[in-house]
Amino acid sequence: MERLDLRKLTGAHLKPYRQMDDDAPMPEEGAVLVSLERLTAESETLLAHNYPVGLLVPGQAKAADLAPWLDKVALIAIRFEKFSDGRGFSLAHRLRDEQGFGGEIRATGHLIADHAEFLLRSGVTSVELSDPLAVDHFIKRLKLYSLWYQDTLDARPTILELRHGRTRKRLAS
Amino acid sequence: MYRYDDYDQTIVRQRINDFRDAVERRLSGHLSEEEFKLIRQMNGVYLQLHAYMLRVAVPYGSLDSRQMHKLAHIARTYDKGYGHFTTRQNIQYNWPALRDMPDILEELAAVDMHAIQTSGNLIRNVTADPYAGAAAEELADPRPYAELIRQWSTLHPEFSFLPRKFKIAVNASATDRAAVKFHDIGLQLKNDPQQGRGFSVVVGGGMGRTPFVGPILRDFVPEAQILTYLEAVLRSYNELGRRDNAFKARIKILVHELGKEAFSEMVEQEFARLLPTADDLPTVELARIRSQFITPTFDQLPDQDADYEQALKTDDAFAHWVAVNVVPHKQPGYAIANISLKPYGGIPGDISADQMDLVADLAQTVGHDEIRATHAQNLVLPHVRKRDLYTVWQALDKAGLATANLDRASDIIACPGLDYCVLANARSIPIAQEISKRFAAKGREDLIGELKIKISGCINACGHHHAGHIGILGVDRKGEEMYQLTLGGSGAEDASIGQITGRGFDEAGIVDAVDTVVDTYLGQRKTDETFLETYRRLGPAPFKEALYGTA
Ligand code: HEM
Ligand code: SF4
Repeated sequence: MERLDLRKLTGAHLKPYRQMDDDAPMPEEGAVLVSLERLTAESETLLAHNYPVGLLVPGQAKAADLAPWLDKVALIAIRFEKFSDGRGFSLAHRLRDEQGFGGEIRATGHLIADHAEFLLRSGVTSVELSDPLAVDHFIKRLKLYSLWYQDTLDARPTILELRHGRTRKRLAS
Repeated sequence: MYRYDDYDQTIVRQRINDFRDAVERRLSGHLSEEEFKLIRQMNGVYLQLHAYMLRVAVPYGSLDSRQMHKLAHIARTYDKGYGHFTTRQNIQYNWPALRDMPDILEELAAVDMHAIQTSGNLIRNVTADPYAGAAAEELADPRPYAELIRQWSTLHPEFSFLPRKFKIAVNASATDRAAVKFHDIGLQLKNDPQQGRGFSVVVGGGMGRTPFVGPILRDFVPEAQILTYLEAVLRSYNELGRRDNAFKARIKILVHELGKEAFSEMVEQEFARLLPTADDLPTVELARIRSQFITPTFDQLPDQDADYEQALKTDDAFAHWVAVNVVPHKQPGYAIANISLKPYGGIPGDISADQMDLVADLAQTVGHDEIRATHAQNLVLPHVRKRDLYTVWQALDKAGLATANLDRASDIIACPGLDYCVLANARSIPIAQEISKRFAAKGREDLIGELKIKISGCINACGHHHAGHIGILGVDRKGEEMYQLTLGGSGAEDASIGQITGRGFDEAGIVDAVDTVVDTYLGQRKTDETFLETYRRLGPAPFKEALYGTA
């Protein structure tokens, strides 16, 4: 598995996470991803461990259901079941905008390079890709776009801000 | 016309480079055919029965002469010398080669045009009243709102992989010329005495196999909050719209299955969450967009023109065209001239490169450089001085563009049908041609008056048959092309869905059936009653009896 930080365009500093099945025994060390069900059921033992625990959720998960865990987990991984299923974008948006989550959101699953810019602008910060070439395609695409009309959920200016010479309210406040 | 600034230009250029890149990745095998399909669709490239087609966006149907000349050039250089105006105010080329697509997109970008989001499961090209800026009764020009929405929806990070396509229309007159009630979202501009200008918002209309006249989800959204409200609707739909069955994926099904109240509650909750941090930039931007529109400086003219009046008296054909195709303009001395793309026996919506050039020249010389495409697959010169109408008509007539049949029996909407479409059950275009010839030959159109006939080659309803006063639907019966007849639909402010009359007809039979229906109307109508009014007064019984006899 390759990892890519969508803002830094490298994955060197990103931690690998192991996806744990709900009934698989926990490893001695190394970061893990667990489902919401498992985290809810075993939170005390899981969060007491000294390795980072991330939450792996499907795109259709409800942001509000994840709220109790957001300040306890190391990262949220959103799994895209199919490249055409865009629910993960709304989930990422809600985690940032509705729940105020400031940590890492990593996209996994059926991703294609054409998602790259959309993921970043919906609040996703990193991706996990199976094909090293896909990493190159992601980077190429991210470099392709320098401007966008919509709010970006990060500090990059939108076309509206550039046109009117000011910063949008949401970030300024 | 809205003029692009450097930012708008950059977006379009970036998208072309991106599409080139996707074509390369497809050719080198890094994109599967299924994955590439989605990407090419987002860029307007569709696969038809015989070849790829390119659907070029004509946002809210507005064109200037430079753009129309470019469309003509593309038709000549990359297609077979013609293009096809669609029911969503776009133009479609049926025969360009896939390898030429990025070059065509470059040509379009040179005149502020693109093919972005004319296909695919995302927010499609925004449509609007083709008489915008010219209609006598409009509250305000709807196009700046449509442009605001175009920009907001272009490459939207969150809403580019929706359950299904999403169509938004904007109308600003009491007369609905944008079919807002048949859209995923229909925006009707209105004035509120307290809150000023805003929209009543229709959500969940649509055609297809389950047609709905969309309900009003919110009676009033202030214009400053419209993008926020759209965001709330789109987010709710993206999260909850069905993804298990393409036929149930449109927002109309979600609204229907949840119920309007439950869906509305969800949207209201999200809207309320977003409002406190919603930015006022869109309002500032709306003002900028308005200033980027080149609006015509009208001449101050008397409403009557002596030469024009004289021509009306001396040239019957001209007078007839004016009576049928020309409608009043808000500015004294001006008129709105409709150009029919429905010559008798022709293919609805088709236009040759030479004809495009002529329309462009007319717009430039005597039309304040504006052209519109309508959802009925016709064109409009929205701002013509009455004193220039005779010249315009003569030029159109010479080019075969002066058919006087606006909203008449031969002004038929037809989808591509079995001649082009992989999904078709039956041919649409030849049926349209036969009906058109039938009514032309008899010369009954003037007697009949307003009559909207719409034909779809299958239940997807691209030809809007549900909204036709007379609708025709192609069905497959044991491998034979058959046609069902529906009556009483309307896509206007009095929207309704047509009712099926009974068993279907074959190719010859359907043309006779339309004839029978029209004869029944003529026999039963009261003075000045339109077909739709008569049908609504009498119901289906007399028409069924005429078609099938008494059972
Ligand atoms: C030839 C290739 C085409 C194919 C395969 C195709 C396919 C479809 C399908 C599957 C639907 C149903 C969508 C749904 O209800 O979810 C649909 C609807 C529609 N299509 Fe097409 N279409 C084609 C051409 C066109 C053309 C050329 C036009 C414009 C003239 C057009 C305009 C529409 C419209 C207006 C709808 C309608 C209704 C709605 O939004 O509910 N289509 N099309
Ligand atoms: S209505 Fe059916 S036949 Fe006609 S274009 Fe649409 S999908 Fe094709």
